Amino acid sequence: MLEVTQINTFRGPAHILHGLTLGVEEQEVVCLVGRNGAGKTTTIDSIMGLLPLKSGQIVFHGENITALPAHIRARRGMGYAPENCGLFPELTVEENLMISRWLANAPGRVKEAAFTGGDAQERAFSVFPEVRALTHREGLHLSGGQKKMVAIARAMTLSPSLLLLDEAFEGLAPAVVTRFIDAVIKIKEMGISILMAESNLANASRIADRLYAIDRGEIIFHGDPKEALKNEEVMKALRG
Amino acid sequence: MHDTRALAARVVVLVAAGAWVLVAPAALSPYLLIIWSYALILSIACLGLNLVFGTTGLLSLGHAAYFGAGAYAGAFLYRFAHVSSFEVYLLAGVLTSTLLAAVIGFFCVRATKIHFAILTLAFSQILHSLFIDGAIFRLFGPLGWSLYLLGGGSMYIPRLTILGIEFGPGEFIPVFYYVIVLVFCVSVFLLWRINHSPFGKTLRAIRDNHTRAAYIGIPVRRYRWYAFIISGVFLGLAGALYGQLDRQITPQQLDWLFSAKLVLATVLGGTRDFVGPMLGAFVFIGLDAIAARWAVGHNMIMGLLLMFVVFVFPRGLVGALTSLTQMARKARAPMRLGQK
Repeated sequence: MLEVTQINTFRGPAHILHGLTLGVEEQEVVCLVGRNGAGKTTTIDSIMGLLPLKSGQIVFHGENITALPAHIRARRGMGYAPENCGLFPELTVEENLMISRWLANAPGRVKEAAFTGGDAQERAFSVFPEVRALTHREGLHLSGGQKKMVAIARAMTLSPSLLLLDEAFEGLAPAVVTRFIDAVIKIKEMGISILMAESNLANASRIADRLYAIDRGEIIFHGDPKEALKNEEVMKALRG
Repeated sequence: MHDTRALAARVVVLVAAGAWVLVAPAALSPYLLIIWSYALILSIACLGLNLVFGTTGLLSLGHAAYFGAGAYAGAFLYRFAHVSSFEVYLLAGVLTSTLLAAVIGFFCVRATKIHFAILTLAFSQILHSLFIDGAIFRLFGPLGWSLYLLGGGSMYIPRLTILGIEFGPGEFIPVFYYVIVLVFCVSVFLLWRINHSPFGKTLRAIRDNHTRAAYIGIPVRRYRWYAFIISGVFLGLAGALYGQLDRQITPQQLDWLFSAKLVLATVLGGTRDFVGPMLGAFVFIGLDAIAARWAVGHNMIMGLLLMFVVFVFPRGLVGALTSLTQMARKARAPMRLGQK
Protein backbone atom coordinates (compact mmCIF):
# COMPACT_ATOMS: atom_id res chain seq x y z
CA MET A 1 0.00 0.00 0.00
CA LEU A 2 2.69 2.48 1.04
CA GLU A 3 6.27 2.13 -0.13
CA VAL A 4 8.84 4.65 1.05
CA THR A 5 12.15 4.13 -0.73
CA GLN A 6 15.51 5.68 0.09
CA ILE A 7 14.20 9.09 1.16
CA ASN A 8 16.51 11.91 2.22
CA THR A 9 14.88 14.85 3.99
CA PHE A 10 16.34 18.10 5.32
CA ARG A 11 14.95 20.53 7.88
CA GLY A 12 16.68 23.75 6.89
CA PRO A 13 20.38 22.91 6.61
CA ALA A 14 20.08 19.80 8.83
CA HIS A 15 20.07 16.43 7.06
CA ILE A 16 17.47 14.45 9.08
CA LEU A 17 16.52 11.34 7.11
CA HIS A 18 19.34 9.34 5.51
CA GLY A 19 18.05 7.01 2.80
CA LEU A 20 15.10 5.82 4.89
CA THR A 21 13.05 2.92 3.51
CA LEU A 22 9.84 1.48 4.96
CA GLY A 23 6.50 0.03 3.87
CA VAL A 24 2.97 -0.52 5.11
CA GLU A 25 0.69 -3.30 3.85
CA GLU A 26 -3.12 -3.41 3.70
CA GLN A 27 -4.83 -3.63 7.12
CA GLU A 28 -1.56 -3.52 8.99
CA VAL A 29 -0.43 -1.55 12.03
CA VAL A 30 3.21 -0.51 11.66
CA CYS A 31 5.05 1.35 14.40
CA LEU A 32 8.05 3.58 13.87
CA VAL A 33 9.89 3.63 17.18
CA GLY A 34 12.71 5.92 18.19
CA ARG A 35 13.78 8.33 20.89
CA ASN A 36 13.17 12.09 20.65
CA GLY A 37 14.99 13.64 17.71
CA ALA A 38 15.49 10.31 15.91
CA GLY A 39 13.47 11.45 12.87
CA LYS A 40 10.00 9.96 13.49
CA THR A 41 8.02 13.17 12.96
CA THR A 42 10.20 14.07 9.96
CA THR A 43 9.38 10.67 8.44
CA ILE A 44 5.63 11.16 8.96
CA ASP A 45 5.78 14.77 7.68
CA SER A 46 7.72 13.60 4.59
CA ILE A 47 5.14 10.91 3.85
CA MET A 48 2.30 13.43 4.31
CA GLY A 49 4.02 15.91 1.98
CA LEU A 50 4.63 18.58 4.62
CA LEU A 51 8.39 18.45 4.02
CA PRO A 52 10.00 18.24 0.58
CA LEU A 53 12.26 15.28 -0.17
CA LYS A 54 15.81 15.84 -1.36
CA SER A 55 15.76 12.42 -2.98
CA GLY A 56 13.89 9.12 -2.82
CA GLN A 57 10.38 8.03 -3.71
CA ILE A 58 7.00 7.52 -2.04
CA VAL A 59 4.46 5.23 -3.69
CA PHE A 60 0.88 5.01 -2.37
CA HIS A 61 -1.59 2.49 -3.83
CA GLY A 62 0.79 2.02 -6.77
CA GLU A 63 0.93 5.76 -7.55
CA ASN A 64 4.11 7.80 -7.22
CA ILE A 65 3.02 10.62 -4.89
CA THR A 66 6.51 12.05 -4.22
CA ALA A 67 5.74 15.35 -5.93
CA LEU A 68 2.12 15.68 -4.81
CA PRO A 69 1.19 18.38 -2.27
CA ALA A 70 -0.24 17.46 1.15
CA HIS A 71 -3.88 18.22 0.33
CA ILE A 72 -3.83 15.88 -2.68
CA ARG A 73 -2.27 13.11 -0.57
CA ALA A 74 -5.08 13.62 1.97
CA ARG A 75 -7.60 13.29 -0.83
CA ARG A 76 -5.88 10.13 -2.06
CA GLY A 77 -6.73 8.54 1.31
CA MET A 78 -3.99 9.55 3.76
CA GLY A 79 -5.27 10.71 7.14
CA TYR A 80 -2.95 12.45 9.59
CA ALA A 81 -3.23 13.11 13.31
CA PRO A 82 -0.10 15.03 14.37
CA GLU A 83 1.58 15.08 17.76
CA ASN A 84 0.15 18.53 18.60
CA CYS A 85 -3.30 17.32 17.42
CA GLY A 86 -3.59 20.14 14.86
CA LEU A 87 -7.14 21.17 15.74
CA PHE A 88 -8.33 24.61 14.73
CA PRO A 89 -8.68 26.26 18.14
CA GLU A 90 -11.35 28.80 17.24
CA LEU A 91 -13.60 26.24 15.57
CA THR A 92 -15.83 23.89 17.52
CA VAL A 93 -15.28 20.14 17.35
CA GLU A 94 -18.35 19.92 15.10
CA GLU A 95 -16.86 22.52 12.76
CA ASN A 96 -13.47 20.77 12.78
CA LEU A 97 -15.23 17.58 11.71
CA MET A 98 -17.56 19.43 9.35
CA ILE A 99 -14.67 20.65 7.20
CA SER A 100 -13.29 17.14 6.76
CA ARG A 101 -16.77 15.71 6.12
CA TRP A 102 -17.43 18.38 3.51
CA LEU A 103 -14.04 17.82 1.83
CA ALA A 104 -14.61 14.06 1.87
CA ASN A 105 -17.63 14.62 -0.37
CA ALA A 106 -15.92 17.23 -2.56
CA PRO A 107 -15.58 16.42 -6.26
CA GLY A 108 -12.22 15.11 -7.40
CA ARG A 109 -11.63 13.01 -4.33
CA VAL A 110 -10.34 9.50 -5.01
CA LYS A 111 -12.38 7.23 -2.78
CA GLU A 112 -10.26 4.31 -1.70
CA ALA A 113 -12.70 3.43 1.06
CA ALA A 114 -16.39 2.70 0.63
CA PHE A 115 -17.29 5.19 3.33
CA THR A 116 -17.65 8.89 2.76
CA GLY A 117 -18.78 12.02 4.58
CA GLY A 118 -21.43 11.30 7.21
CA ASP A 119 -20.84 7.52 7.27
CA ALA A 120 -17.16 8.13 7.90
CA GLN A 121 -18.03 10.42 10.79
CA GLU A 122 -20.27 7.75 12.31
CA ARG A 123 -17.37 5.30 12.05
CA ALA A 124 -15.17 7.82 13.84
CA PHE A 125 -17.80 8.19 16.59
CA SER A 126 -17.98 4.42 16.95
CA VAL A 127 -14.24 4.41 17.73
CA PHE A 128 -14.43 7.43 20.05
CA PRO A 129 -18.04 7.82 21.31
CA GLU A 130 -16.69 10.44 23.76
CA VAL A 131 -16.25 12.87 20.86
CA ARG A 132 -20.00 13.04 20.26
CA ALA A 133 -20.48 14.87 23.57
CA LEU A 134 -17.76 17.40 22.72
CA THR A 135 -19.15 18.62 19.39
CA HIS A 136 -20.13 22.10 20.64
CA ARG A 137 -16.86 22.79 22.40
CA GLU A 138 -14.12 24.87 20.79
CA GLY A 139 -10.83 23.13 20.05
CA LEU A 140 -9.14 25.53 22.45
CA HIS A 141 -11.14 24.23 25.41
CA LEU A 142 -10.34 20.52 25.18
CA SER A 143 -7.99 18.50 27.35
CA GLY A 144 -4.91 16.83 25.81
CA GLY A 145 -6.60 13.42 25.56
CA GLN A 146 -9.79 14.91 24.10
CA LYS A 147 -7.76 16.79 21.50
CA LYS A 148 -6.04 13.57 20.45
CA MET A 149 -9.39 11.77 20.14
CA VAL A 150 -10.85 14.58 18.02
CA ALA A 151 -7.70 14.71 15.87
CA ILE A 152 -7.97 10.99 15.06
CA ALA A 153 -11.76 11.27 14.55
CA ARG A 154 -11.21 14.18 12.16
CA ALA A 155 -8.60 12.24 10.18
CA MET A 156 -11.05 9.31 9.97
CA THR A 157 -13.83 11.57 8.66
CA LEU A 158 -11.81 11.91 5.44
CA SER A 159 -12.24 8.13 4.92
CA PRO A 160 -8.54 7.34 4.82
CA SER A 161 -7.11 3.99 3.81
CA LEU A 162 -3.91 4.84 5.70
CA LEU A 163 -3.80 6.70 9.00
CA LEU A 164 -0.57 8.41 10.07
CA LEU A 165 -0.46 8.89 13.85
CA ASP A 166 2.36 10.90 15.37
CA GLU A 167 2.93 10.20 19.07
CA ALA A 168 -0.73 9.38 19.66
CA PHE A 169 -0.02 8.17 23.23
CA GLU A 170 2.27 11.03 24.22
CA GLY A 171 1.30 12.65 27.52
CA LEU A 172 -1.59 10.27 28.21
CA ALA A 173 -2.20 8.47 31.53
CA PRO A 174 -1.60 4.66 31.36
CA ALA A 175 -5.34 3.93 31.58
CA VAL A 176 -6.04 6.31 28.70
CA VAL A 177 -3.21 4.72 26.67
CA THR A 178 -5.05 1.39 26.95
CA ARG A 179 -8.23 3.15 25.72
CA PHE A 180 -6.30 4.48 22.70
CA ILE A 181 -4.74 1.07 21.99
CA ASP A 182 -8.26 -0.42 21.86
CA ALA A 183 -9.24 2.38 19.48
CA VAL A 184 -6.28 1.65 17.18
CA ILE A 185 -7.20 -2.04 17.09
CA LYS A 186 -10.80 -1.09 16.23
CA ILE A 187 -9.63 1.22 13.43
CA LYS A 188 -7.49 -1.58 12.02
CA GLU A 189 -10.51 -3.92 12.08
CA MET A 190 -12.32 -1.38 9.90
CA GLY A 191 -9.73 -2.06 7.20
CA ILE A 192 -7.64 1.04 7.74
CA SER A 193 -3.85 0.65 7.81
CA ILE A 194 -1.92 2.60 10.42
CA LEU A 195 1.61 3.95 10.50
CA MET A 196 2.37 5.19 13.97
CA ALA A 197 5.34 7.11 15.32
CA GLU A 198 5.93 6.16 18.94
CA SER A 199 8.74 6.65 21.42
CA ASN A 200 7.60 3.97 23.88
CA LEU A 201 8.62 0.51 22.64
CA ALA A 202 6.40 -1.29 25.20
CA ASN A 203 3.28 0.54 23.98
CA ALA A 204 4.25 0.04 20.34
CA SER A 205 4.78 -3.71 20.79
CA ARG A 206 1.23 -4.03 22.22
CA ILE A 207 -0.38 -3.08 18.91
CA ALA A 208 2.17 -3.28 16.08
CA ASP A 209 2.07 -6.04 13.47
CA ARG A 210 5.50 -4.91 12.37
CA LEU A 211 7.95 -2.45 13.82
CA TYR A 212 10.69 -0.21 12.53
CA ALA A 213 13.25 1.27 14.90
CA ILE A 214 14.78 4.57 13.81
CA ASP A 215 17.91 6.27 15.08
CA ARG A 216 19.55 9.43 13.69
CA GLY A 217 17.38 9.28 10.57
CA GLU A 218 18.18 5.68 9.67
CA ILE A 219 16.24 2.46 10.13
CA ILE A 220 18.27 0.26 12.48
CA PHE A 221 15.74 -2.53 12.93
CA HIS A 222 12.78 -3.95 11.02
CA GLY A 223 10.68 -6.92 12.07
CA ASP A 224 8.54 -8.50 14.76
CA PRO A 225 7.91 -6.25 17.81
CA LYS A 226 8.82 -9.08 20.21
CA GLU A 227 12.21 -9.45 18.54
CA ALA A 228 12.79 -5.71 18.93
CA LEU A 229 12.39 -6.04 22.69
CA LYS A 230 15.20 -8.63 22.71
CA ASN A 231 17.45 -6.65 20.35
CA GLU A 232 20.23 -4.97 22.31
CA GLU A 233 21.06 -2.43 19.61
CA VAL A 234 17.42 -1.26 19.50
CA MET A 235 17.16 -0.99 23.28
CA LYS A 236 20.43 0.93 23.41
CA ALA A 237 19.30 3.35 20.70
CA LEU A 238 15.96 3.93 22.43
CA ARG A 239 17.59 4.62 25.77
CA GLY A 240 19.88 7.15 24.05
CA MET B 1 -34.34 31.60 29.94
CA HIS B 2 -31.13 33.29 28.85
CA ASP B 3 -31.58 32.05 25.25
CA THR B 4 -35.15 33.37 25.11
CA ARG B 5 -34.01 36.78 26.35
CA ALA B 6 -31.15 36.88 23.82
CA LEU B 7 -33.53 35.89 21.01
CA ALA B 8 -36.04 38.55 22.09
CA ALA B 9 -33.25 41.16 22.15
CA ARG B 10 -32.19 40.18 18.66
CA VAL B 11 -35.75 40.37 17.33
CA VAL B 12 -36.20 43.84 18.91
CA VAL B 13 -32.90 45.06 17.37
CA LEU B 14 -33.82 43.65 13.95
CA VAL B 15 -37.33 45.15 13.99
CA ALA B 16 -35.98 48.53 15.13
CA ALA B 17 -33.25 48.45 12.44
CA GLY B 18 -35.82 47.46 9.79
CA ALA B 19 -38.20 50.25 10.85
CA TRP B 20 -35.36 52.79 10.86
CA VAL B 21 -34.17 51.71 7.41
CA LEU B 22 -37.69 52.16 6.02
CA VAL B 23 -38.38 55.58 7.55
CA ALA B 24 -34.87 57.01 7.07
CA PRO B 25 -35.70 58.96 3.85
CA ALA B 26 -38.53 60.76 5.70
CA ALA B 27 -36.62 61.22 8.95
CA LEU B 28 -33.27 62.40 7.60
CA SER B 29 -32.28 65.53 5.72
CA PRO B 30 -31.07 64.95 2.12
CA TYR B 31 -27.46 65.45 3.26
CA LEU B 32 -27.75 62.96 6.12
CA LEU B 33 -29.57 60.48 3.88
CA ILE B 34 -26.59 60.55 1.50
CA ILE B 35 -24.16 60.05 4.44
CA TRP B 36 -26.30 57.15 5.66
CA SER B 37 -26.30 55.67 2.13
CA TYR B 38 -22.48 55.95 2.00
CA ALA B 39 -22.33 54.04 5.29
CA LEU B 40 -24.45 51.21 3.84
CA ILE B 41 -22.22 51.07 0.73
CA LEU B 42 -19.02 51.10 2.78
CA SER B 43 -20.49 48.29 4.91
CA ILE B 44 -20.86 46.10 1.83
CA ALA B 45 -17.26 46.89 0.82
CA CYS B 46 -15.87 46.19 4.31
CA LEU B 47 -17.81 42.93 4.62
CA GLY B 48 -16.44 41.89 1.23
CA LEU B 49 -12.89 42.84 2.22
CA ASN B 50 -13.24 40.97 5.50
CA LEU B 51 -13.82 37.68 3.70
CA VAL B 52 -10.18 37.91 2.61
CA PHE B 53 -8.84 39.82 5.62
CA GLY B 54 -10.59 38.63 8.79
CA THR B 55 -11.92 35.26 7.59
CA THR B 56 -9.02 34.03 5.45
CA GLY B 57 -6.26 35.95 7.25
CA LEU B 58 -4.82 37.84 4.26
CA LEU B 59 -4.35 41.60 4.56
CA SER B 60 -5.15 43.24 1.26
CA LEU B 61 -3.98 46.80 0.65
CA GLY B 62 -5.38 46.88 -2.86
CA HIS B 63 -9.12 46.32 -2.60
CA ALA B 64 -9.77 49.85 -3.82
CA ALA B 65 -8.97 48.45 -7.28
CA TYR B 66 -12.16 46.33 -7.31
CA PHE B 67 -14.25 49.10 -5.78
CA GLY B 68 -12.99 51.56 -8.40
CA ALA B 69 -13.39 49.06 -11.23
CA GLY B 70 -17.00 48.53 -10.16
CA ALA B 71 -17.60 52.28 -10.33
CA TYR B 72 -15.72 52.95 -13.59
CA ALA B 73 -16.91 50.00 -15.73
CA GLY B 74 -20.50 51.17 -16.05
CA ALA B 75 -19.37 54.76 -16.52
CA PHE B 76 -17.42 53.73 -19.62
CA LEU B 77 -20.43 51.75 -20.80
CA TYR B 78 -22.64 54.81 -20.38
CA ARG B 79 -20.16 57.17 -22.02
CA PHE B 80 -19.21 55.03 -25.04
CA ALA B 81 -22.20 52.68 -25.54
CA HIS B 82 -24.86 55.13 -24.25
CA VAL B 83 -26.33 52.57 -21.88
CA SER B 84 -28.35 54.47 -19.30
CA SER B 85 -29.85 51.61 -17.29
CA PHE B 86 -28.69 51.33 -13.69
CA GLU B 87 -29.15 47.54 -13.75
CA VAL B 88 -26.70 47.23 -16.65
CA TYR B 89 -24.35 49.69 -14.94
CA LEU B 90 -24.40 47.53 -11.80
CA LEU B 91 -23.91 44.29 -13.72
CA ALA B 92 -21.00 45.74 -15.72
CA GLY B 93 -19.34 46.90 -12.50
CA VAL B 94 -19.72 43.55 -10.77
CA LEU B 95 -18.52 41.55 -13.78
CA THR B 96 -15.47 43.78 -14.29
CA SER B 97 -14.43 43.71 -10.64
CA THR B 98 -14.96 39.94 -10.45
CA LEU B 99 -12.82 39.37 -13.52
CA LEU B 100 -10.16 41.73 -12.22
CA ALA B 101 -10.16 40.03 -8.81
CA ALA B 102 -9.88 36.62 -10.49
CA VAL B 103 -6.81 37.69 -12.50
CA ILE B 104 -5.04 39.67 -9.77
CA GLY B 105 -6.02 37.20 -7.05
CA PHE B 106 -4.58 34.31 -9.06
CA PHE B 107 -1.11 35.85 -8.66
CA CYS B 108 -1.54 37.36 -5.18
CA VAL B 109 -2.59 34.15 -3.41
CA ARG B 110 0.77 32.64 -4.33
CA ALA B 111 2.19 34.78 -1.53
CA THR B 112 1.17 35.15 2.12
CA LYS B 113 1.53 37.67 4.97
CA ILE B 114 3.38 40.90 4.11
CA HIS B 115 4.24 39.66 0.61
CA PHE B 116 0.55 39.21 -0.13
CA ALA B 117 -0.18 42.75 1.12
CA ILE B 118 2.62 44.17 -1.05
CA LEU B 119 1.40 42.30 -4.14
CA THR B 120 -2.19 43.52 -3.71
CA LEU B 121 -0.90 47.06 -3.21
CA ALA B 122 1.35 46.84 -6.29
CA PHE B 123 -1.45 45.60 -8.56
CA SER B 124 -3.87 48.27 -7.35
CA GLN B 125 -1.27 51.00 -7.86
CA ILE B 126 -0.65 49.77 -11.41
CA LEU B 127 -4.39 50.04 -12.09
CA HIS B 128 -4.49 53.47 -10.42
CA SER B 129 -1.63 54.69 -12.62
CA LEU B 130 -3.44 53.47 -15.75
CA PHE B 131 -6.30 55.80 -14.85
CA ILE B 132 -4.33 58.74 -13.51
CA ASP B 133 -2.01 58.72 -16.58
CA GLY B 134 -4.92 58.30 -18.97
CA ALA B 135 -3.73 55.02 -20.52
CA ILE B 136 -7.18 53.44 -20.07
CA PHE B 137 -8.84 56.45 -21.70
CA ARG B 138 -6.51 56.21 -24.72
CA LEU B 139 -8.07 52.81 -25.50
CA PHE B 140 -11.31 54.61 -26.35
CA GLY B 141 -9.75 56.72 -29.10
CA PRO B 142 -9.80 60.53 -29.43
CA LEU B 143 -13.11 60.85 -27.54
CA GLY B 144 -11.66 58.90 -24.61
CA TRP B 145 -8.50 60.96 -24.60
CA SER B 146 -10.38 64.27 -24.66
CA LEU B 147 -12.54 62.96 -21.80
CA TYR B 148 -9.34 62.32 -19.85
CA LEU B 149 -7.95 65.77 -20.62
CA LEU B 150 -11.24 67.30 -19.51
CA GLY B 151 -11.58 65.48 -16.20
CA GLY B 152 -8.04 64.35 -15.36
CA GLY B 153 -9.24 60.75 -15.04
CA SER B 154 -12.55 61.62 -13.41
CA MET B 155 -15.87 60.69 -14.99
CA TYR B 156 -19.32 62.06 -14.51
CA ILE B 157 -22.45 59.93 -14.83
CA PRO B 158 -26.05 61.15 -14.83
CA ARG B 159 -28.97 59.75 -12.85
CA LEU B 160 -29.52 56.41 -14.59
CA THR B 161 -32.92 54.81 -15.08
CA ILE B 162 -34.00 52.32 -12.42
CA LEU B 163 -36.14 49.48 -13.83
CA GLY B 164 -36.54 51.64 -16.93
CA ILE B 165 -38.00 54.58 -14.99
CA GLU B 166 -36.37 57.98 -15.10
CA PHE B 167 -36.51 59.78 -11.74
CA GLY B 168 -36.25 63.53 -11.30
CA PRO B 169 -33.63 65.26 -9.09
CA GLY B 170 -35.91 65.47 -6.05
CA GLU B 171 -37.04 61.86 -6.03
CA PHE B 172 -33.92 60.06 -7.24
CA ILE B 173 -31.99 59.88 -3.94
CA PRO B 174 -34.89 58.48 -1.83
CA VAL B 175 -35.61 55.85 -4.52
CA PHE B 176 -31.95 55.01 -4.98
CA TYR B 177 -31.61 54.74 -1.21
CA TYR B 178 -34.04 51.79 -1.25
CA VAL B 179 -31.99 50.18 -4.04
CA ILE B 180 -28.91 50.49 -1.80
CA VAL B 181 -30.85 49.00 1.13
CA LEU B 182 -31.96 46.06 -1.05
CA VAL B 183 -28.41 45.37 -2.29
CA PHE B 184 -27.12 45.77 1.29
CA CYS B 185 -29.63 43.23 2.66
CA VAL B 186 -28.89 40.71 -0.12
CA SER B 187 -25.11 41.17 0.36
CA VAL B 188 -25.30 40.74 4.14
CA PHE B 189 -27.45 37.62 3.74
CA LEU B 190 -25.13 36.07 1.14
CA LEU B 191 -21.95 36.88 3.06
CA TRP B 192 -23.49 35.58 6.30
CA ARG B 193 -24.34 32.32 4.53
CA ILE B 194 -20.83 32.09 3.08
CA ASN B 195 -19.24 32.76 6.48
CA HIS B 196 -21.30 30.07 8.18
CA SER B 197 -21.01 27.48 5.40
CA PRO B 198 -18.38 24.72 5.37
CA PHE B 199 -16.54 26.90 2.83
CA GLY B 200 -16.42 29.77 5.35
CA LYS B 201 -15.23 27.44 8.10
CA THR B 202 -12.58 26.15 5.73
CA LEU B 203 -11.36 29.71 5.15
CA ARG B 204 -11.11 30.21 8.92
CA ALA B 205 -9.17 26.96 9.18
CA ILE B 206 -6.74 28.26 6.53
CA ARG B 207 -6.42 31.52 8.47
CA ASP B 208 -5.65 29.68 11.73
CA ASN B 209 -3.05 27.33 10.26
CA HIS B 210 -2.56 26.68 6.56
CA THR B 211 -0.29 23.65 7.12
CA ARG B 212 -2.97 21.94 9.20
CA ALA B 213 -5.51 22.88 6.56
CA ALA B 214 -3.40 21.24 3.85
CA TYR B 215 -3.06 17.89 5.57
CA ILE B 216 -6.77 17.55 6.11
CA GLY B 217 -7.17 17.92 2.36
CA ILE B 218 -7.85 21.63 1.83
CA PRO B 219 -6.36 23.03 -1.40
CA VAL B 220 -5.20 26.16 0.44
CA ARG B 221 -4.17 28.32 -2.51
CA ARG B 222 -7.32 27.57 -4.49
CA TYR B 223 -9.61 28.40 -1.58
CA ARG B 224 -7.74 31.66 -0.93
CA TRP B 225 -8.31 32.48 -4.58
CA TYR B 226 -12.04 31.71 -4.34
CA ALA B 227 -12.27 34.00 -1.29
CA PHE B 228 -10.47 36.74 -3.21
CA ILE B 229 -12.85 36.46 -6.17
CA ILE B 230 -15.99 36.49 -3.99
CA SER B 231 -14.58 39.48 -2.16
CA GLY B 232 -14.10 41.21 -5.53
CA VAL B 233 -17.79 40.64 -6.37
CA PHE B 234 -18.94 42.57 -3.30
CA LEU B 235 -16.36 45.33 -3.73
CA GLY B 236 -17.57 45.75 -7.33
CA LEU B 237 -21.15 45.90 -6.12
CA ALA B 238 -20.28 48.56 -3.56
CA GLY B 239 -18.23 50.50 -6.12
CA ALA B 240 -21.08 50.57 -8.64
CA LEU B 241 -23.54 51.80 -5.98
CA TYR B 242 -21.05 54.45 -4.91
CA GLY B 243 -20.53 55.61 -8.51
CA GLN B 244 -24.24 56.17 -9.02
CA LEU B 245 -24.76 57.81 -5.62
CA ASP B 246 -21.82 60.19 -6.02
CA ARG B 247 -22.19 60.49 -9.82
CA GLN B 248 -18.58 61.61 -9.93
CA ILE B 249 -15.98 58.85 -10.23
CA THR B 250 -12.34 59.78 -9.67
CA PRO B 251 -9.05 57.82 -9.59
CA GLN B 252 -9.12 58.42 -5.81
CA GLN B 253 -11.46 55.45 -5.58
CA LEU B 254 -8.66 53.29 -6.99
CA ASP B 255 -5.93 54.73 -4.81
CA TRP B 256 -4.22 52.84 -2.01
CA LEU B 257 -5.45 55.47 0.47
CA PHE B 258 -8.96 54.29 -0.20
CA SER B 259 -7.79 50.68 0.35
CA ALA B 260 -6.35 51.85 3.67
CA LYS B 261 -9.72 53.44 4.56
CA LEU B 262 -11.44 50.11 3.94
CA VAL B 263 -8.92 48.31 6.15
CA LEU B 264 -9.25 50.97 8.88
CA ALA B 265 -13.04 50.81 8.93
CA THR B 266 -12.91 47.00 9.08
CA VAL B 267 -10.35 46.95 11.91
CA LEU B 268 -12.32 49.63 13.74
CA GLY B 269 -15.38 47.38 13.90
CA GLY B 270 -13.47 44.14 14.47
CA THR B 271 -12.34 41.54 11.96
CA ARG B 272 -13.27 38.39 13.90
CA ASP B 273 -17.03 39.00 14.14
CA PHE B 274 -19.36 39.04 11.18
CA VAL B 275 -21.01 42.34 12.19
CA GLY B 276 -17.65 44.01 12.99
CA PRO B 277 -16.92 45.43 9.50
CA MET B 278 -20.50 46.73 9.23
CA LEU B 279 -20.32 48.52 12.56
CA GLY B 280 -16.84 49.79 11.68
CA ALA B 281 -18.10 51.24 8.39
CA PHE B 282 -21.00 53.06 10.07
CA VAL B 283 -18.80 54.49 12.84
CA PHE B 284 -16.08 55.41 10.34
CA ILE B 285 -18.50 57.33 8.11
CA GLY B 286 -20.02 58.97 11.21
CA LEU B 287 -16.63 60.08 12.53
CA ASP B 288 -15.62 61.24 9.07
CA ALA B 289 -18.79 63.37 8.81
CA ILE B 290 -18.15 64.88 12.26
CA ALA B 291 -14.46 65.54 11.52
CA ALA B 292 -15.41 67.15 8.18
CA ARG B 293 -16.75 70.14 10.14
CA TRP B 294 -13.16 71.16 10.77
CA ALA B 295 -11.79 71.56 7.27
CA VAL B 296 -8.18 72.28 8.31
CA GLY B 297 -7.62 69.54 10.88
CA HIS B 298 -10.00 66.99 9.33
CA ASN B 299 -7.43 64.26 8.73
CA MET B 300 -5.68 64.91 12.04
CA ILE B 301 -8.92 64.62 14.04
CA MET B 302 -9.79 61.46 12.12
CA GLY B 303 -6.33 60.02 12.80
CA LEU B 304 -6.51 60.80 16.53
CA LEU B 305 -9.97 59.28 16.85
CA LEU B 306 -8.82 56.11 15.12
CA MET B 307 -5.69 55.91 17.28
CA PHE B 308 -7.89 56.17 20.37
CA VAL B 309 -10.13 53.35 19.17
CA VAL B 310 -7.21 51.09 18.22
CA PHE B 311 -5.44 51.59 21.58
CA VAL B 312 -8.57 51.33 23.73
CA PHE B 313 -10.38 48.60 21.73
CA PRO B 314 -7.69 46.44 20.10
CA ARG B 315 -10.30 43.81 19.14
CA GLY B 316 -12.45 46.44 17.50
CA LEU B 317 -15.77 47.88 18.63
CA VAL B 318 -17.58 44.54 18.51
CA GLY B 319 -14.82 42.93 20.58
CA ALA B 320 -15.15 45.74 23.14
CA LEU B 321 -18.93 45.40 23.26
CA THR B 322 -18.61 41.62 23.74
CA SER B 323 -16.12 42.11 26.60
CA LEU B 324 -18.43 44.66 28.27
CA THR B 325 -21.41 42.30 27.98
CA GLN B 326 -19.40 39.45 29.48
CA MET B 327 -18.22 41.67 32.33
CA ALA B 328 -21.81 42.77 33.04
CA ARG B 329 -22.98 39.14 33.06
CA LYS B 330 -20.19 38.14 35.45
CA ALA B 331 -21.00 41.07 37.72
CA ARG B 332 -24.66 40.07 37.83
CA ALA B 333 -24.05 36.33 38.38
CA PRO B 334 -23.04 36.47 42.12
CA MET B 335 -26.01 38.75 42.82
CA ARG B 336 -28.38 36.15 41.43
CA LEU B 337 -26.75 33.43 43.53
CA GLY B 338 -27.11 35.68 46.58
CA GLN B 339 -30.79 36.22 45.85
CA LYS B 340 -31.38 32.47 45.84
